[in-house]
Amino acid sequence: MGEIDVAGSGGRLSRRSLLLAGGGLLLAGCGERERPTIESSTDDSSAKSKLRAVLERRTKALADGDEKAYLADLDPSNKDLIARERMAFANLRQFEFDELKYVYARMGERTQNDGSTLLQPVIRITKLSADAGPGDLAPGESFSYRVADKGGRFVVTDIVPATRAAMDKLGFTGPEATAPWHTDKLHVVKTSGNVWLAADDSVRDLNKFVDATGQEIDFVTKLWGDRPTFPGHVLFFTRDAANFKQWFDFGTADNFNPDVLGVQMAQYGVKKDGQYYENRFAGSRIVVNLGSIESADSSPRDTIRHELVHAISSRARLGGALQAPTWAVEGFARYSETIGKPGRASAVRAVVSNGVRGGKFRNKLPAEDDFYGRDVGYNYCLGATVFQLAERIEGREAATELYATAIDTIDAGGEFLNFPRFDSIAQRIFGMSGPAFRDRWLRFVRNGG
Amino acid sequence: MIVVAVAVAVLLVSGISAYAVTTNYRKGDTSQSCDTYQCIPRLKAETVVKALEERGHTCSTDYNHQTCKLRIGAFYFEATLQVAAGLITRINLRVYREQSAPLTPGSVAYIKWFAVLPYRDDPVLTGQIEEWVDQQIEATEDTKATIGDYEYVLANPETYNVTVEIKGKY
Repeated sequence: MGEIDVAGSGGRLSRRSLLLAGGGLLLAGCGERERPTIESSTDDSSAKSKLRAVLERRTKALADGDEKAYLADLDPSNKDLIARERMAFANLRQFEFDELKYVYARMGERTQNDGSTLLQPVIRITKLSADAGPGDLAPGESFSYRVADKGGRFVVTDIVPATRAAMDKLGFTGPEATAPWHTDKLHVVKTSGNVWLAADDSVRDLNKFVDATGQEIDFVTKLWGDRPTFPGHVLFFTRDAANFKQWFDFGTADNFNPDVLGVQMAQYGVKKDGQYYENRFAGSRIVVNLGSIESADSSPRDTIRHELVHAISSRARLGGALQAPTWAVEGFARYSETIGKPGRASAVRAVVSNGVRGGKFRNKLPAEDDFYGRDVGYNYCLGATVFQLAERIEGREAATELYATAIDTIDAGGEFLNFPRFDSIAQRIFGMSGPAFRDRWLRFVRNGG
Repeated sequence: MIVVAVAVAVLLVSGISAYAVTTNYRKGDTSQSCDTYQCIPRLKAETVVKALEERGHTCSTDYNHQTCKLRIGAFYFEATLQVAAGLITRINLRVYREQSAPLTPGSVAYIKWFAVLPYRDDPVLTGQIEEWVDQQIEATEDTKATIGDYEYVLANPETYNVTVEIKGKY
């Protein structure tokens, strides 16, 4: 008691402690002692430290394609966990990752009654080669890990990906882990240009969509030009209604409808502290609902084009609470469906005409509230008329430029064409005043588009 | 708010420390017996509490523990001193921040201020301890260290709930 430890007397010195002590040792005089040194070591006894080591091993195993090592730290008695992780391993191995790493900034630790420990949220940066975010941020996913000592061995006894329901039940928040690779066996095809098509077991004819997707990508790439975009595209295909509802937790969204033909999910990037950066997106995922498309006798290519237009432009789109106006996002995608397709253009005109005749047109664009409500079809087509007119006045590039400008703008009330700053936008793109463009648009809509 | 947090921590550091340059150590320089414990020598718990209260902390006593709390914006600071014979035998710190707030230099300064208390008269060792704190937070790993008569445990530096324990070896 009371003795002063000197370097080397109290156990192994880490390299760090030696470094710290290096300049501080003093020669002791008679009856005096040397200055204490700092004997520092990583505390690897906690559940958190052990889990960290496990996740490092699993990350390496995934990169190396070593399934055995990937599963080695899991509780062998939990057969369901082993099966799920084996499937996830096989799915993830079919994609290409630019970054796969864990963020522990928000992780909490809770001891359970059975002696196990719950660690959550464990956040994984899951950056595909098709992703690119602001400031190099990348999409992330969070999980709840349950760990325990079993037979003298530290094992992961369960992993729960973060769905909204799981987070409510387990009491944590974080980026959702709702990508299809967590829940369904996928068949993935990589095509040229960093494009990834993935399908569940309900789609045995995925190759049928490879060429069509490639052609639509060529089309939207030309349409979008050299504006900011992601390095690639990721599309998931299903005919399974339950999967369409489950993937990306779309079933819990306010605008969920099982008959929806496709959906594009822009991905936020995750910061160092595990929180989303919500002003801009860091990646995009598309789900094509072949079941609904075939039931409605619709064209998969129209849906693929529509969602690809969302995807290719989402890097330039405002995100978060002050997000881009939906009339522009959906309107431009609907407009793109009409390019080179007179039949589709005619159908859009008919929807607008019927809406005008039915008294739905109130001399402005659709507002955010209830956009996806009863008049959703009309709202899409009314949004499209702005870009159809833009093309008629100044050409397709002008329509795209108007879209790129609109999605970098906040317009919750559908008042974009009335904004004072729209005057300078109209002057720049069309060489006419804002009110002049708006008057032409009002006449265009009233005349049926 | 972050600026305020830094200012508070800096003021605190200047609140107690009156460095006398220490080059050589004698028995009793780094710890002294207090009841059945080892305590930080020549530093009464009430002196620390008073210094914290003067800087806006709200302090309370519970048996042999003194706890001082301070909330500044997104940050919450809590220091609990275990007291024996009027001296400090253990310090537990908690720096809690709202999830989006980065660990500011002020928060780190708060941890350092307590970490150097046992060796407050030795500018060389306090510099080393401060450097050690910086390195552990940078490394974002749980760390334990023995520094003379004290054991230090710094946990969760990468999370929103950083904890530090400093206790005399006994």
